[in-house]
Amino acid sequence: MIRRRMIGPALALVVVGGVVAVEIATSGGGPSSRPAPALPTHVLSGHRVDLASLRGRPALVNFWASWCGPCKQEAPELRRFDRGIGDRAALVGVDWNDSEQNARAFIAQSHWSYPVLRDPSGAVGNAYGLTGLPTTFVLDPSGNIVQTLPGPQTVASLRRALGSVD
Amino acid sequence: MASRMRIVTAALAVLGAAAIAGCGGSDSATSASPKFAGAAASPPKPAPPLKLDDSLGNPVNITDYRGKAVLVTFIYTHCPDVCPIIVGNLHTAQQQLGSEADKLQIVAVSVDPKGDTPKTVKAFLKDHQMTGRMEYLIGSRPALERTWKAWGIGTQVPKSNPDLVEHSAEILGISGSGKITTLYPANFKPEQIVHDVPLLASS
Repeated sequence: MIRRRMIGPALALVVVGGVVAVEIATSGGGPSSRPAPALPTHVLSGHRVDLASLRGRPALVNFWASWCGPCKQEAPELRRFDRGIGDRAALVGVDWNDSEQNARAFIAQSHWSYPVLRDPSGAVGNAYGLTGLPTTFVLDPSGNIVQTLPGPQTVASLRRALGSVD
Repeated sequence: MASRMRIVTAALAVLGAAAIAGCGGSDSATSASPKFAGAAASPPKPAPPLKLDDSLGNPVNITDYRGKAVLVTFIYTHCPDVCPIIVGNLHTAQQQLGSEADKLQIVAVSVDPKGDTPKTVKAFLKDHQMTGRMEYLIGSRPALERTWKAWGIGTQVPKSNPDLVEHSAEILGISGSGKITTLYPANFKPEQIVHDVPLLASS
């Protein structure tokens, strides 16, 4: 795995085509956290969720797409993580700029039971500052983004991220 | 970090002495210049040659697109992060352009002569709903290296993972008269493209 550091605006023209294992982290609830942009309203699977319904507990918002290779790698980890968190936190998937048919097939194959929303134009992901897929944003109970986890995550890395919010 | 700086330098060298104004910063251009949403080159500079085959073996020459806005991006099909984001946002921009989409030609140039084959490109275009909506140019390493050099594109295979390619990721906007006129970062917004395409096409 390649590590990618956060690059400043002067270096924004350059990317590293690597799978990223490092957290681009802000301190939980610290001064560099920011309010999460609104979630998409189109529900692909599961129940409807919005930011208001997530308030009161940490939430993980995972952006993915059916065409994304690393997302396939991450999918079983998300399923296992979701089955283990109970009511302690919420997990929400957001399918970014994707064919709806392919996305539905991906969800079925992944056996995800958590809510998955659809961002067909990519506007929501862009508002979140998406720079690659998959990316998971960690929200504190007040709806602020406190961590960004680029690249495919594992159950352990997701639990770790969640632990830093508690 | 030093290697990244070298790549940035290479990427911007294509514009030579032309200055790049910040987003919406075409103020530094002449007063008659259109206001672009992307960073404006001041002055615009003739685009370097770009003649390669697409994934079907058809020859493509950027000069064939005079009169249109041309967006040139350098990507590879198994890029795990930013390339799909670029193409996804280009797809959205095309859709938002509606009938004006015929003023735009998107040209992707491979930065991976080994991994980008007719088969992988076909699958990539299908996955991203871009079949028939953009050109994806591939070629031999020497042919692609000549193109990268002409366009000032830095590429580098990291020793820690030779399956990946580090590369410049800016998108260059070419005017209808064939000049590099605008520059967009990898995290551009589709709305910037929608705004600039008619201006680029008529410039």
